[in-house]
Amino acid sequence: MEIIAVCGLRKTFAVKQKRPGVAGSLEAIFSPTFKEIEAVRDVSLSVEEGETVAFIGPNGAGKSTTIKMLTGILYPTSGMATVLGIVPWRERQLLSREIGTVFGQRSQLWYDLPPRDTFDLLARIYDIPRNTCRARMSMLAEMFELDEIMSTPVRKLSLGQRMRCEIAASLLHGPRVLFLDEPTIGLDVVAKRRIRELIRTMNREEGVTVFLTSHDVSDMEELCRRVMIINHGQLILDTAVSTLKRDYLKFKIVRVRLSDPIGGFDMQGVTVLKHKRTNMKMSVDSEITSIDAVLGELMRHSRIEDITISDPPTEQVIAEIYLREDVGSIGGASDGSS
Amino acid sequence: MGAARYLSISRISFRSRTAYIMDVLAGSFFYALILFVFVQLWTTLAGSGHFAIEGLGARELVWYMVVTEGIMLGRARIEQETDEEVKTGSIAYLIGRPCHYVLFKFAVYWGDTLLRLIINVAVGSLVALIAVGPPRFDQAHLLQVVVSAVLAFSLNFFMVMCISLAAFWVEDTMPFRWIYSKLLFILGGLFAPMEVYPAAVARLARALPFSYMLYAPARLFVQYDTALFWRIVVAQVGWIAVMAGLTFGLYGLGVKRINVNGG
Repeated sequence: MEIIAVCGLRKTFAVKQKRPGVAGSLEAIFSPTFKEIEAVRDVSLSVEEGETVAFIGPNGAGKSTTIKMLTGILYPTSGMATVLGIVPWRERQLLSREIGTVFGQRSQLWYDLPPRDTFDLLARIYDIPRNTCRARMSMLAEMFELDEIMSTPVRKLSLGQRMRCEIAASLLHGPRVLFLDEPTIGLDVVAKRRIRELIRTMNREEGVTVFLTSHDVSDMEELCRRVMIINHGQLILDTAVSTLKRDYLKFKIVRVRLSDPIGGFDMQGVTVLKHKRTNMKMSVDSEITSIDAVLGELMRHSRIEDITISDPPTEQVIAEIYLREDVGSIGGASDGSS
Repeated sequence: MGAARYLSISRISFRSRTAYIMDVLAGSFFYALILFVFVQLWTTLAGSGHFAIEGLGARELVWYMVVTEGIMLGRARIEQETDEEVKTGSIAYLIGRPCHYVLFKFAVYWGDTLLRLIINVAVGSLVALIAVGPPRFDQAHLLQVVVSAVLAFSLNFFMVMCISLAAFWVEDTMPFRWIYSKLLFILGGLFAPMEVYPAAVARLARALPFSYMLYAPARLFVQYDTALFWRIVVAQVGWIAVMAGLTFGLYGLGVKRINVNGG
């Protein structure tokens, strides 16, 4: 069953332009000029019930603008979208009972009060019957490990604890679709992993459809089966995560700090991006060589004191997509993988 | 069900404000200080023997200020918060809920106002009792005064919401907020009742909404008059209807052109 249907969605913003200095300020008051920014350009997509979809792109790509149109917060300039058959910006309140939203950079929790108070308030706002609410809160508290922090004022919680509360709060009324806008932003590795596990569990156990935006490629890799990549407001790829991994994410970025400086490092499948005495940053093509083999080779020259392995940044993945595809043909591309 | 929902919002807003009880108490200290200064002014003027305002003596004028300053300093400052919600984008959470944003803010406003009001009433009454003794007030009229005060606070809410919602169109609503507070000072009758004003200014003040927020409930408290009460209530309800209509209209227009920052 199709849960989200988007056709030719477009959003433009008129941004006021101002020249520097006092003269520029006066000009902006009496004769303002505006520049039209096209945040989302002709996006069309479809999401089926129970899917976990990642909507990936660099900062300013149009991810959040799209999610805000799908949740009814922003009105599109043109195009159409339905979520559960409802046009979000026309029937926002009706839709709000069926969806949950988490905006990673905003909070819905009352800052000076314990999370329990916000949960109680949300139960009232969503008209959740007392018994249902009690059972639901108890289930969420157990799943998200909230019991210990339920009575601590939100301002005293860590970012990871707060995010667990935010997601649990957005699930209290049993939404069918969960929109997550950068849910892991600013979190450390352990907290990110925990949040991803919880989202996965909710998707599996409750069948909640998850639509997640992120600029972190790992969110997509660990959580989703399908990925859409957006850049400059255009959907440039819609495919299975496994396909993306196979075709575009075969590189890993490896940073090492060695105990002794080495002169140079040459190995097939490895490109040294930076090398300064004992510090090296390299790109490893996992199709040609394994990380193990690279580390083994390095350890023949020196002891490794520190190591970080990460995915290439989204910008690099996008550059790779543009390189491999005909840009003109991938705007709004979709192979419909799910 | 709807009313219970908004009552819960008021309750949580009240509880949230208690976290800043020291700020509220500090505000009340300032309130007591202002009252003390005006106690000196009115009692000195009354003592000079050249002072009479349509039956209002030093005692009435001090109690008048207890009410006007109590409302002025007791009203929740939602304007700055609303302005920031529109500008920073946190409004996103609030409009994506099964409750109306303006009514949500109204409930938050009352929860926040209530705590300040309770403390201000206690502090103001104490200062006035010590300085000039109890008010000449017939308790039979208490309900009418409370009704007028509730309408005054509600009118203030819709006025400040109109100003705050301007943030959908302008970059900063601070200048409007500043002008509003000064108009309340002057045309609202914060420091002295309309009877002190030159006739033309008093006529202007009565034609505008500001005096129905401060002067009206204070005047009823110190010198009750049933005919005046009905005139005031009709004017207050009329102004609330106008400003509420404007608020909902501005919100309806603004939300269509919302530009969530950082989005």
